[in-house]
Amino acid sequence: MTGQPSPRLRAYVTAGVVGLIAALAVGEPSPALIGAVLLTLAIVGIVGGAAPSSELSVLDVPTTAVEGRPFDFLVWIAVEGSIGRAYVDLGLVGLDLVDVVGARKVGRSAFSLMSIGALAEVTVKVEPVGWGRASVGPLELHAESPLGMLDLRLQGSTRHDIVTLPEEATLRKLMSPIETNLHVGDLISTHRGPGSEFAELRPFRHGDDPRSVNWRVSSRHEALWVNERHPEKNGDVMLVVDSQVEAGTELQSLVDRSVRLAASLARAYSKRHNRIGIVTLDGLCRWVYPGMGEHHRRRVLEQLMSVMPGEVIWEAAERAVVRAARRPSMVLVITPLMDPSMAGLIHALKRAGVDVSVIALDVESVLPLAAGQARLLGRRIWAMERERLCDRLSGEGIPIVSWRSIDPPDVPLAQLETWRGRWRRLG
Amino acid sequence: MASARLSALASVAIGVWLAVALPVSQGAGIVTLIGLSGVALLALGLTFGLHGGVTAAAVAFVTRSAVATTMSVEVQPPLWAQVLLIVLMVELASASFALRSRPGDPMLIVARGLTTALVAAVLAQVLVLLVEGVEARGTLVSLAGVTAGVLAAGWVTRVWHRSGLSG
Repeated sequence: MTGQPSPRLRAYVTAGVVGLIAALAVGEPSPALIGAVLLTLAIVGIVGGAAPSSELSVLDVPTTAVEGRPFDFLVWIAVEGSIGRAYVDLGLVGLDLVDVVGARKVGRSAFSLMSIGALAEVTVKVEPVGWGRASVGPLELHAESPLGMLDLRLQGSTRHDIVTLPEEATLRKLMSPIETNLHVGDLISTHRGPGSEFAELRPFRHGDDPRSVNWRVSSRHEALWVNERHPEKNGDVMLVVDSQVEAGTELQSLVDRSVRLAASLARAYSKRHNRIGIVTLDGLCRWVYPGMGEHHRRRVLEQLMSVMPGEVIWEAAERAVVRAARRPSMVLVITPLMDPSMAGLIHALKRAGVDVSVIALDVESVLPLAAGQARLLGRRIWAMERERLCDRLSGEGIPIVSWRSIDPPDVPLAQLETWRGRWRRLG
Repeated sequence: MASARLSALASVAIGVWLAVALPVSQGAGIVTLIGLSGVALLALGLTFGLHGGVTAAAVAFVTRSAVATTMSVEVQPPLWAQVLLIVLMVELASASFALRSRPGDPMLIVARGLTTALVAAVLAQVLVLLVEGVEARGTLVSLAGVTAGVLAAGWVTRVWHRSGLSG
């Protein structure tokens, strides 16, 4: 803990010395008396206010939190000796202080303790506000010497970063990837192999497992027949989140919707043992290759939480998406479709034989009303161009649905699945 | 923030009151001027977050008191009240700075400031009673005064350094 002289100490010492000198100059005792009183206060204040050695730490801060769900952590203060009333600034970013146990809440990010003798433990309850990155600390402890002549200050060394996830919607039905990979999962592969789903019957071949012999059919045909099965494999799902919208406008809410949907999808597909990857398109174009496990899911979500509205560099974006979203991945593009380049990128994926589907966010519902004839005309032309892009994509067999702001996320997914089913039957 | 502003306002109000306490008609215009300069510096310091403003105001009021004693007018307010108001002004201004830079309980800070000011006023009155009627003039007294001042400054510096506050 360090001690800094407070403004009052400087004022008392300087004015006190000036008073003594002034008394000598004018030859009257009154200024000396004032000076003596002020110096006495300063000296008493300094003598009683040594800065004790102390330590400040935070324990049990989670690395991940969910928007709107409060969580607790512990603040631990150790002092060699004791200090009087102390204030601890928690340095909360993206978190609201809800409650403090063992101290008194002061303001939106601090608490106070009447006194600290040797050790103090305080349980702090906070609530994440919105999704994104939040942090606790570095903590700052402020205390004063008995007469307030010294400002005692102790700063914690660490900042605890927390990824706040959006409140995830529960998705009842998900689209299944058409192609599966080699890992074991919940999807029924189109290939033959060990599994539980019956595929077809075929004559026995040397080397077949005797347990796969279908005895009923074999007795009817007077030859050995075996059951062939579909193995259960998992699929790769690549989420492409396009956040090219103008920052600071109503359109920013589209990014919020995209991120919320992508987080829900990531959770739902992870639960079904699929491998998840992500490409985020904002000012920076970043991607995470498909993978599994809690650590990987956290990487995906961390990247998702750092999405900001920004202008996409489309050449780089196309290279990144084509590189990251390869077969056998199922690519799910969540986009406001504000730029024709996005349609070009989706075309490129389709040309590469990738199973791609598009959820186009409904933009018009968040736009402010157009005032004036010219603006109205401009808005209509823009809407028509956007419609033409959608038509072009659907004309090429790319499943595309518009997700209205009033619909839950299940609706576009169900529509996409219906579309894909129809195409599969036609094909 | 509101409590910091209120505290600053109260500090400046006390300063203005102290500055105009000695009427100009009694020929003490210079005294009032010194006091008001101190208030102006205090207000500037509080507005722009300069701690030096508090020190400048305190020095101005001590100087004002010294100049007032040389005039053939009755010194107003009495010495204990001057000390009370100077300390209260400094305490409130410091409270304003403290509340702006860190969390704090405004009521507690103001209560402590008031207590300090009262203690200082009582101390000043005791000293006045002690030195009443004593005439301290001459070269020897001046020499003793300078020596005491130097010793006091030296002691404060030593305590300052030993407490590790000098950085």
